[in-house]
Amino acid sequence: MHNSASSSIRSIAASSYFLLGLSMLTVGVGCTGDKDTAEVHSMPSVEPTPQPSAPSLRRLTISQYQNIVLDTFGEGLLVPSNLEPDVETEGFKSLGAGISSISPVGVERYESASYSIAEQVIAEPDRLAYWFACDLTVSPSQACIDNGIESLGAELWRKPLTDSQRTRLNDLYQIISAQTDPITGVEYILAAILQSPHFLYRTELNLESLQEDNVSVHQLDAWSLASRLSFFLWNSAPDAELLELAESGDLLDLAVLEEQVDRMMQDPKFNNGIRNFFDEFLHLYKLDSITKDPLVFTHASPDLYAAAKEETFQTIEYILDNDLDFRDLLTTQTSFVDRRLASLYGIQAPVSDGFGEVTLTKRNGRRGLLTQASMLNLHAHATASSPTLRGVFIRKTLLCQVVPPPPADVDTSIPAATDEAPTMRERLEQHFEDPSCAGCHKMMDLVGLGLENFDGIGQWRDLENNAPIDPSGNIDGATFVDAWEMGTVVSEHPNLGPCLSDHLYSYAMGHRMTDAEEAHQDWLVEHLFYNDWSFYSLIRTLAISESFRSHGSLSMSMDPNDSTDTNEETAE
Amino acid sequence: MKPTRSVNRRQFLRGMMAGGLVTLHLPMLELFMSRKALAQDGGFPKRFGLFYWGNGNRPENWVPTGEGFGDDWTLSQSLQALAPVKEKLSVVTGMSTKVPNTSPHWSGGMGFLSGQELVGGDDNWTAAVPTFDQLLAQGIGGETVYRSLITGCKTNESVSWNGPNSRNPVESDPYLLYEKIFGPTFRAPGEEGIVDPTLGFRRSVLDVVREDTLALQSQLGAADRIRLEQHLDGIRDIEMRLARLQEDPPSLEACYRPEAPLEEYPSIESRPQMAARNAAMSQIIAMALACDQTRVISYAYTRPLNNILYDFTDMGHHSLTHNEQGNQPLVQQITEFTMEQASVFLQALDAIPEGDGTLLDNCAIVLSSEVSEGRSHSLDEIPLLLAGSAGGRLQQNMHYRSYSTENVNLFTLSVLRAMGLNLVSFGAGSTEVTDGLSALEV
Repeated sequence: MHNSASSSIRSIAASSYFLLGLSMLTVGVGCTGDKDTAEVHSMPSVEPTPQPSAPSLRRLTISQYQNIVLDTFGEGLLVPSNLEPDVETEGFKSLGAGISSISPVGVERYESASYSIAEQVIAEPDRLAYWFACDLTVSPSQACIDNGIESLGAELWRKPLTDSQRTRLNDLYQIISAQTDPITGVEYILAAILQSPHFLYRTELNLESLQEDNVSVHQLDAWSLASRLSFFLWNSAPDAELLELAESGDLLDLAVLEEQVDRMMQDPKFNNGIRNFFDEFLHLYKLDSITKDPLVFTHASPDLYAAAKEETFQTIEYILDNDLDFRDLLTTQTSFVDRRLASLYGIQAPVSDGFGEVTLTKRNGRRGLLTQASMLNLHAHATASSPTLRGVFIRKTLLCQVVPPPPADVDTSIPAATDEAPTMRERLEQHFEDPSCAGCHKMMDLVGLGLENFDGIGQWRDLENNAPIDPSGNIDGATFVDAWEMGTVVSEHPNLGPCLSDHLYSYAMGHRMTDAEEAHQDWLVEHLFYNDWSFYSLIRTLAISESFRSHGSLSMSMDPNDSTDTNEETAE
Repeated sequence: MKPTRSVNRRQFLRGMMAGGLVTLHLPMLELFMSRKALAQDGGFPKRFGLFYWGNGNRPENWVPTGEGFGDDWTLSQSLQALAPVKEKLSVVTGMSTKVPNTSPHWSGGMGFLSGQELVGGDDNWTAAVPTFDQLLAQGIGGETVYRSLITGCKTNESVSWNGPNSRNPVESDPYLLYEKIFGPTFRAPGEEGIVDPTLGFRRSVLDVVREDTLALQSQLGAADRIRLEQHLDGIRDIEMRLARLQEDPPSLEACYRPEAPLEEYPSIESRPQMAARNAAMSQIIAMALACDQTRVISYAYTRPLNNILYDFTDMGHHSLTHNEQGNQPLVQQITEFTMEQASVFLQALDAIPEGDGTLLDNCAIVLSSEVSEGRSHSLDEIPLLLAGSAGGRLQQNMHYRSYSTENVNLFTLSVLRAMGLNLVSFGAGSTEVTDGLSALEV
C-alpha cells in the first residue's frame, strides 16, 4: 500500500488539477489508517540502482558563506551579508543555488566581502596560526607560506590545490609582499581564495571518473563526498577530521562513512543543518521580511515574527531530539513560547525570559505546526488571514500536490463582506460560483478555511464580523471539524511521507528529483515507515545511500533549466 | 569596497620598480590619462533610465484626451502630476504585450522587459534573455564606472536580468547607493584620479580569480560553463571600474558630490516612506548620471506583485487590486501617487543643466508597469511613457494612440535604437519586431 501511495504521488498531484477532489478522494480513503499499521512494516528493500543527475555547480548560499567563514576563522568576525541574494526555487534556496549565476554586482559584492573578512582576520594574527605556523610579522620562511597557502586553500576550497593554483597564489603573495609586507601578502591571498569560484561554488563530482568512457554513474571523489556531507548535515564546509579522511580516501569506505555521519549528527553543527533545512522547507526565512498592518494587528512586530520562527525551530528540535514520530509535529501539544507568543496565544508565559515549554490544551484550540504563529503569519495577508494561501501551503509544500497559479486573465477579486456573507467562508462560496475559479479555489480554500479561527497574525477568534466561524472541512475525503483535528488529518495524508522524502532528497542533492531518481523516493519512504517516521533515520539513510554518493555524466545540453526538468510538471 | 589604505610615496615607487611580472597591475599609464573626451560630436552622452512600478493602473483613467503634439493633447487624471514635465513627455497608449499570459504579473513583466515570453515553470520562471536595460549596459555602459546601476525604492528584488536564472541584485537603500557611488572612491570634476597601489593589488587578485574560473569552466557541463561566463563578466566589470577610478574624472560642469541622504528611512506603522525614499533616490540617480558614473539606470520604484501599504490604504497594493470593489478608488489613488513620484524623479533629471538643455533631454526614460489593469492582469493597454528625447532622437510632448493593439516591442525597439544600439530586431517568434514605432522617432 505504501509503495503505491508513494509512487503515485506525482500522479495524484497531476490529476488533482483536472479531477480535483475526486481521484484524491479515492486515494485518500484507500490510505487512511497508515499510521495504525506502521509497526508491521517489513524490512526495506535494497537501494535501487542510482540514476543520478548530471553534476551541477551549487553556489554557496548566504548562510553557508557566513557559516564557513565563522567555522574557519572563529566567532567574532563581522561577515558581510550583502552578497549575491539567494535565489528561491519553490522556496528552497538550495535549489536556486543549483541553477542561478552570480551577477556582476554579486561578483563585486563578493570582492568587497573578501577584503572585509581578510582585513579582520589579519588584524588578529592568531586567527591564522592554524595554517601559517610562523610569525608573519617577521620574515616568514617560504616553507611556512607554502604550507599556509596549501592548507588554507584546501580547507576553504574543500579540495587540494592543483599545481597551477598553488603557483598562482604564491606568485600573488610574492608580488604583494614584496611591495608591502608578509602579512599584507597573506591578506590578499586570503581575499583571492575567498573570491575564487572554488570557494563560491560547490563542485561535487569525480573528474577522473568523468574521463572514462562508458561510465554513466560516477562515484563522488572523497573530497566531494566530504563537501556534500557537510553541507547537507551542517550547512557548512567540512571540518579537519572530514578533510583528513578525504585526503586519505578512507571516507569512501562505507563503515568509515557511517561513523562520520553518526559523528556529524552528534555535533552541535548538526542543529544548524536541521534548522536550515526547515528554514527552506517551511519558508521560515520569509518571516524576516514580513509586513503586517499594526493598525489591524496590534500584536504585530518584528520581534513577534522572530519569536514565531524560534517556536517552530524549537518544536522541530523537540521532535527530533526525542526521536519522535515526525508526524507528531502536526499534532503535538508541546510547544515553546516566550512572553510575546504566550500573550498572542492567550496563555500564561512559562518563563519570564526567553522560551519555555508549554502544553497546549483543547481549550487553546491550537496544537501542532499548522496552528503556530509562524505558519499562520506567513500564509496570510498584511491585513487579513488567507484561507487560500494557507491551503496552498498545506497542499503544495506539505503534500507536494500541484496547485496551479490563477489564470492570468480573470477577475480574482473576492466579494466584500456583507450582512448575508459576513465570514470568509461565505464570501469564498460566492467566489466559487464562478466556474473558472471554483475548481482550484475549492481545492485550496476548503483546506485553509480550517484555520480561520486564527487571524492574520495567528490570534484566536471565534467570530468574524460578529458571525461564528465554521472551521470544518475535509482534505481529499478525510474530514475535520476544526484546526485541532486538521493536524491529524494532514499527518495521516498518504502524501506526507513521500513529500517529506522528496524535499529532503532535493535539498541534499540541489535539484528536484528527476523521473529517473524517483525510485529513490519510494525507497526512502520505505525506510521512513520502517523506522517509525524517525526523521533522524531518514537523514542517515540518505546520507549513506549510494545515490547520495554519486553523480551522472556531464550534460552538454545548452538548456540552463536542464537540472530542474521535473519542474515542467508543476508548470502544467 | 575596501577602504583605501594609505601608502607612502616610497612604497609606491618600490611598487613601480618591482614591475615586470604579468600579474602586477600598477596605476601607470591610466594614471596620467584623462577621461576620454565626453562630448563626442560636441554633444553629451545619452543616458537611459527605466522607472518601473508594479501592479499596473486603472486603464479607464489613464489615457490622455486628444492625440498628437503639444496642445493637441492633455494629461489624463492619472497623469496630472506629470504636468511640470509634459513638454518632455510622450504617452503611448493602446499597445499590448504580446506574450501568452500564463504567469500573473511575470508574463507581462518579462514580456515587456525582455521582449519575449518568460521561461521555466510556475515556481522558477525566469527571463529567457537579458532584459533590455542589460542590452544597453552591454552596448553603451563600457565607458563609465558602472555599466549599469540596478536600483529600487522599496523592493528586495530588481527588474533586471542578465539572462536565465541570473537576476541582478537591487540597491534600494539610498544611503548604500550613495556610499557606493559618492563614497570614498568618488572624484569630483577637477580632482585627480585615485593614486593607490592597492587598486593594482586588487587587479592582481582578479587575475588569479579569472585564471581559476577559466580552468574550472573547462571541466564543466554546458549550463555551468554559461554560469561561469557570467562570473567572468563580473570580473571584467570590476577591472574596468578599477581602471576608471585611476583616471581623472570627466569634466562635467553640472557634476558635484551631492548631499548624503539619511542613513535610514524607517517605515511608519509598516508603511514605507515612499515619497522621502523616492526623493532621495532620485537625487542620487540624477547626480550619478550627471557625473557620468553610469549611463544606464534600472529603477524599480516598486516591483511587480508588491504589496506595499500606503498611508491611505488598509490593504497592500497587490491585495487591493484584487479585492477593492467597483472602480477601485484606492488603486487609482496609488497610481496617482506613483505618478507624483515619477514626476519627482523626472524633475530631478530636468533640474540639471547640460549645454543648452538639461540632463533629461539627453536621456530616454521609459516608465511602465507589468500589466494595465491589476485586477485582471491585462496585457492590453499597457502604460507606456517616455521622458527625454535621447538627445533629440525621440518625440516629446506627444500622445500616440494605437488603434490596432500594436506590440509594445515596437516602442522598445525605437528607444533602444535611439540610444545607439544597432539592433536588427527585438523580441522572438510572435513577439519579434524589426521596425520601431515610427511615430515616436524623430
